[in-house]
Amino acid sequence: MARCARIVLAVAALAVTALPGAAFAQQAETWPPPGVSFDGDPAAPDISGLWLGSETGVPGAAFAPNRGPMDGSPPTFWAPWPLPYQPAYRRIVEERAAALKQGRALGDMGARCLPFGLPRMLVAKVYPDEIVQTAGQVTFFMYGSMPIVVWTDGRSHPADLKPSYNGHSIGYWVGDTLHVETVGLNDRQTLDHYLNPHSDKLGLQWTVRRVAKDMLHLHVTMEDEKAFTEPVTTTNIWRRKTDPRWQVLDDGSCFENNRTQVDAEGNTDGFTKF
Amino acid sequence: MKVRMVIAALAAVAAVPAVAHHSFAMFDTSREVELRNVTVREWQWTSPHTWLFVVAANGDRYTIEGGNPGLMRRQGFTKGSMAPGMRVTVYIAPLRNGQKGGAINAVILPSGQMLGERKH
Repeated sequence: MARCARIVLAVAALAVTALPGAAFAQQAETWPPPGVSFDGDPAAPDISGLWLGSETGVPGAAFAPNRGPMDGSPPTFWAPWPLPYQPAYRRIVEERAAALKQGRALGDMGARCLPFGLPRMLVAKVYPDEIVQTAGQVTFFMYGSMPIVVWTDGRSHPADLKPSYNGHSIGYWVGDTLHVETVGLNDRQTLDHYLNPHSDKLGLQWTVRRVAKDMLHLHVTMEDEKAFTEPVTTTNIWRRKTDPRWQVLDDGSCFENNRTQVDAEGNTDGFTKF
Repeated sequence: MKVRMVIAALAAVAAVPAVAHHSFAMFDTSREVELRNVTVREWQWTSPHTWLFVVAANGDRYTIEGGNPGLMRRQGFTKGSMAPGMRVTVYIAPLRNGQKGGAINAVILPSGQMLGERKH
């Protein structure tokens, strides 16, 4: 929230320039400002539909598949790499890496059926997602998570935001690009499938642009002054899926038969019950 | 019981057990283990993941994790693919901790049909 307030102040000082980042600050001026639309820019594409993104890989990590999702498309990567962790978070990474060598998955919240949240659900794709674009909001229905709503109706972030797995996202359209800011994330999930941590200071700036008829580019920038020494970015590539085999979205309840529940030490007994 | 260990160069690592809800870290995806002619005890077509329980001729029991039914269906698996008593050959990414188990890469049914994809 503090960062959002800084953005508002900074942009207010820029008066009524039509910079994309100025959109939230210009409510008292011309609203919406030129070139910005909250209910859908006339030039904006309709991105509703079923999409399968790419999976974030880990360069050089033996335990990482670096293969991408099931459609065979290649993985995408964080930059810079290695992730520019502050010393305290570097120690968490090293502790988890040491546990991995013993087959233990410290910090694996997914095994406890907790939501994957953001940014993981934007960049670590295995299943296709349904995007529904309506007036005032763009909604992402994703496996293993509550829907991610990007409010495009001009609202601000709540003042009393409770940190959560998805945080709170507001956005606006500029031409063919949806600009989104996500704040209010908790620190319980990982950035990706590889147990890379983040803090509760994590904020996301991301854009969604339809670069081709059946392709989206999601450019994600992570700022986390507590965990990182500099911003981290990635561009995830989403491909539209029209084949009927992709269109079966299962309920996929994590609680139906979760045999991989892990204890506080990262151990699972799912393999010893038989 | 014949278990053949296939060690591949790390540079060639490409296996993705179709697993998403938890880390893959417990599986050694740089290796593939063949469990030849094992007997199916149970095939659980459940979320978040499917599970295959097999017994080898020497009595060794293996617990094998598959992907979510939605993903497994896209690889050709169904709820009825396997039944208790069926003899199958299973290719797995083994558990790192040495326990008898792993993640499903592929299964060869009695008909000879292969479901899934071998990784090495």
